[in-house]
Amino acid sequence: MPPSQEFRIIGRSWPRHDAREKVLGRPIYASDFTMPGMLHGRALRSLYPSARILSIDTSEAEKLPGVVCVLTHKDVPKNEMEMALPGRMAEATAGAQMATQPILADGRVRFLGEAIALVAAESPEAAAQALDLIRVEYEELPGVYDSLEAMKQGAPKVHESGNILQRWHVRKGDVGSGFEEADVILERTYHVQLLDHAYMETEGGVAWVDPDGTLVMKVGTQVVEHYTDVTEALQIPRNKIRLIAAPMGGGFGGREDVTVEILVGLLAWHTRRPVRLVYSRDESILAHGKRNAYVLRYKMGAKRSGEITALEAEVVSDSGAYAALTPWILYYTTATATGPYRIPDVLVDASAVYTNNTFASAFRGFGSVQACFAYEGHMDAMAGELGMSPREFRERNYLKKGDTISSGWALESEPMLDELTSRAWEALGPPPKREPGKKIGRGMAATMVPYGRMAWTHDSSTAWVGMEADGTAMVRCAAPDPGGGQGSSLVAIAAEVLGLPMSRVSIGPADSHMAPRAGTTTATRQLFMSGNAVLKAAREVRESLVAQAAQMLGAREADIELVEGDALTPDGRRLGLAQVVREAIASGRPVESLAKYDAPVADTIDPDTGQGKPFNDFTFGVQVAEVEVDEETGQVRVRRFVTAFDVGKAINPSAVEGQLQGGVGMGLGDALMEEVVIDEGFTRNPHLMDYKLPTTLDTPDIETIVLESGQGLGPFGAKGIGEPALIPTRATIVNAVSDAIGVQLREAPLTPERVYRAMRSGTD
Amino acid sequence: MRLPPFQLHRPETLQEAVSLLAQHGEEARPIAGGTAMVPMMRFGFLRPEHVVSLKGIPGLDEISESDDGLRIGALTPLYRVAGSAVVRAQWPLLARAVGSVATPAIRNSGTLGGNLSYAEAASDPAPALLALEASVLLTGPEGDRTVPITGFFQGFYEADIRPGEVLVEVSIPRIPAGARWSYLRFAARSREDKPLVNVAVVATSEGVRIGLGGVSPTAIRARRAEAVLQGPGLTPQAIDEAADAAAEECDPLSDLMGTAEYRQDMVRVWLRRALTGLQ
Repeated sequence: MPPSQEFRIIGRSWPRHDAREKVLGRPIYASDFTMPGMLHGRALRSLYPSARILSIDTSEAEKLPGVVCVLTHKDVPKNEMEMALPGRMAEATAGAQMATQPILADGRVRFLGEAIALVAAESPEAAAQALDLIRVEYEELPGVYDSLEAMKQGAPKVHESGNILQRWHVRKGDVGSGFEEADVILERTYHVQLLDHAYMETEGGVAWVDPDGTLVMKVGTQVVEHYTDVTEALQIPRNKIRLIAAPMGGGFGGREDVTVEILVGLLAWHTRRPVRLVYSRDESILAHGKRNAYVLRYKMGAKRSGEITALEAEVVSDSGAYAALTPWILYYTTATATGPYRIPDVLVDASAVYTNNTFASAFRGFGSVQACFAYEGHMDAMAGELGMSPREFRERNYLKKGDTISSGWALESEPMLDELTSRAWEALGPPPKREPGKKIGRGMAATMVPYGRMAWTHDSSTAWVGMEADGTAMVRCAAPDPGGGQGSSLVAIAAEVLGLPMSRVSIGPADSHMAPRAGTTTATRQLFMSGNAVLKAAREVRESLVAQAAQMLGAREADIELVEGDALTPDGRRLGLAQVVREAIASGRPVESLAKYDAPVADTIDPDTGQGKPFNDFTFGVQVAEVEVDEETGQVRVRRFVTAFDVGKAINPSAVEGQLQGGVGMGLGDALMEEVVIDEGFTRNPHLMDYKLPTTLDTPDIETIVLESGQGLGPFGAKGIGEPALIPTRATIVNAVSDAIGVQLREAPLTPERVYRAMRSGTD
Repeated sequence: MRLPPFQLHRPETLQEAVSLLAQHGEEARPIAGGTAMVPMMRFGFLRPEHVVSLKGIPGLDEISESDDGLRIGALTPLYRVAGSAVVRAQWPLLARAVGSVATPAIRNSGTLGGNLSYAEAASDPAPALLALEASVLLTGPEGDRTVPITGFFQGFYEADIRPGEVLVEVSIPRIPAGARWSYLRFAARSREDKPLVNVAVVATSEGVRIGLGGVSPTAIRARRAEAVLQGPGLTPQAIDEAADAAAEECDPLSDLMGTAEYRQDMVRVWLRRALTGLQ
């Protein structure tokens, strides 16, 4: 587009294209979708966290009227799901082990709630009753439920290969000499608990077989490409499946793994009838990937002046019973373990360990929350040792453009942390007065979170943009929208470039047969990747339309502007785009384009030292909070919260604010009340009566500060904000509470009792 | 965790409901708003073969005031109790307590009778009704029976409801002029959580009545704490002693909200706050 032109849509706040429908409850979610003659699927799940399965008897269930089929591991053509290590990722894995997970348990269960058998029946009632009639004979086996225990010699083995799933390392400089240079050395251990995504809609999908033999499924998923896992399991060709990502009631990484796809696909394939399978809430909590629990030991050295000299971190992640995405989550933790700080000498040893807990996997932040909690807790503790304020100590050490991060790579853009910090504190205002009965505290956390995949993965996205003869436009791009507004951003980008109002641009579903491949809606990559693909495709279409209009108007191409559906000349002549498009079609000019965007590519990092370019870019942010603690009860109330991020360019400022506020809301639950409690393998709260989420009444007013440095790699200089918005919240609140009570808290959630005990004992 | 199969009955009269419940004995359970029953059935704690819905019985959801006091039909939804002009003006303690239950959605569906029949220790209304010296009217195969609320809660999720009986009405006597009150609830997790401890107090010239929730197998009257206050009244020292007495006489459990020890400490704190903050 002409560089002089001001944005008409980008950077202005507008309602998302699908907002009205969502508010009115009109979208058909996968769990709502029905087909004629549809069967109801259910999974039978293990009653023990660690056991041998001696026998499975399905005969009584099969005889029940209404039951159409009962499947066990014997009915799965390939019963092992392999943990995909896409692109060149596998090369970075020490030992390159390929982790597997059975689709239906075969002789062994490794966590409570593992799927053992599947039922399809004419009614939900018959399906439920059939589950009760399946006889499973178990022999309980010793299990291991703590990641540190699991690493010990002689611990019960979760898998034959042993309990160590993955290790990552960072070796930068020489920590030995770094600690020698230090005047103060401090070591502390931080704990992060298991968390559930707790989205409104549980996992679900509907599958059927089309007359041409294609297996079709509508599933709430963040990853259309998971159709390949279904074809592997069923051993059918990859072009014989069509996966459509349905609207979703939340993603947050919980739909990044395969959820119901293979289960519902198996049932539809066997019965040749439509089947719906939706997880109940307890199934969702018991049997889909949780946020990994971590133990992080941090040892830091600094000079009296406040300059950090060395960091040594030992990180242990509880993978639960299967690998899922834990190896890659652990990489994110490892690569971001130093936070947004300049540290010359770094040593990180990170391990992911199998236990007989529910398997853990992707969760908004993908290992970054755990790292941030440890490095930001430790920055506060270290500042205390040095007698500096947490803010001053951070400001001494913030990364600047050109500084090397722990992987030895020099930052190519300016982190803006000084500005974010001063604006956030300024917004928090002067310190409050003391109030009787209350301890008031303030805390901050800064963070550095990658957006986009690891730089060596050859990530790409494709999108198609095309005009219709009535002057409307269509975007086709298989980018699932879990509610973050990804679809709307793509519509806005196309509308901006094509000079159309947003109402005249539509986006089709993320459908593996109908839309070009866009890659996963994960890793805060869709705006960056698919945004660039749509931008490229739309610019190509624009060029063609401008050429056509220039010819029709007898003007130079450089003088044509596309505004509100018209082509304009500087002297005020105009043509409707519908006319331009019709004429273009008639004269053989293209009015559509398929474009591919490739992320910049770097060499694979060195697996022994973690040196190299880990990610293409990062999003930086700072949060500050003021909290009050009830002196007699330990109850925490967050009084004020400020979240400040450099988003590069806000495509839709109100959507950015929504992401920023949503991140804080989610982090509030992590900091104050949420935890999946597993007691010796048995989950004590697989329901929302005892897994509590913050309500509007628990959420403070959240002030958002949006910086637009224009440095991002996304369209118009945008960075990603989906995951980053959450990352520092847990640390911010816990640091503020620690400040209030004068005792450092190193684990959460900060239930009143935990804070109460810390206040009384003087330690946590 | 889907609902197990059951037969749903929808009687249109109280007699019909009572005879259905009597006929099916232990296989039957009455249901009103379902906010407690349905989760209990989903978790498999209750597996009644017959569920008798009381919602179609007319006349059980009325609030009426007389010289003796207030009568609230058992089927009255919580939001109507909390929002009733009469309740708010004359029994503000009750309005506050009932209006504190969970969320608007739960209060719209849940009923006062259902809340009490469930006999949950961490009920919001129960301590308030204990402090207000309410009574409940039950009807069953043997006829009507009035039970003072102080004797109604018998154990962990156990109320004095005999086979075939249905709770039909809650009666609350008038509060003497000049009485003061307080209702405080302490939720440890989210605001819609049930209370870890809740305290209801009615103070009249006769004495102080204290209801406690969440800290014993049932909601209780804190009789020993009341006795401590009988002589000296609400002096700071007596309040401290009453708070200690209440902590002694409660019998808390440990659960995911907090340990028994913490609950005991919190009884002290919240009773002290309730007694010093009377309205």
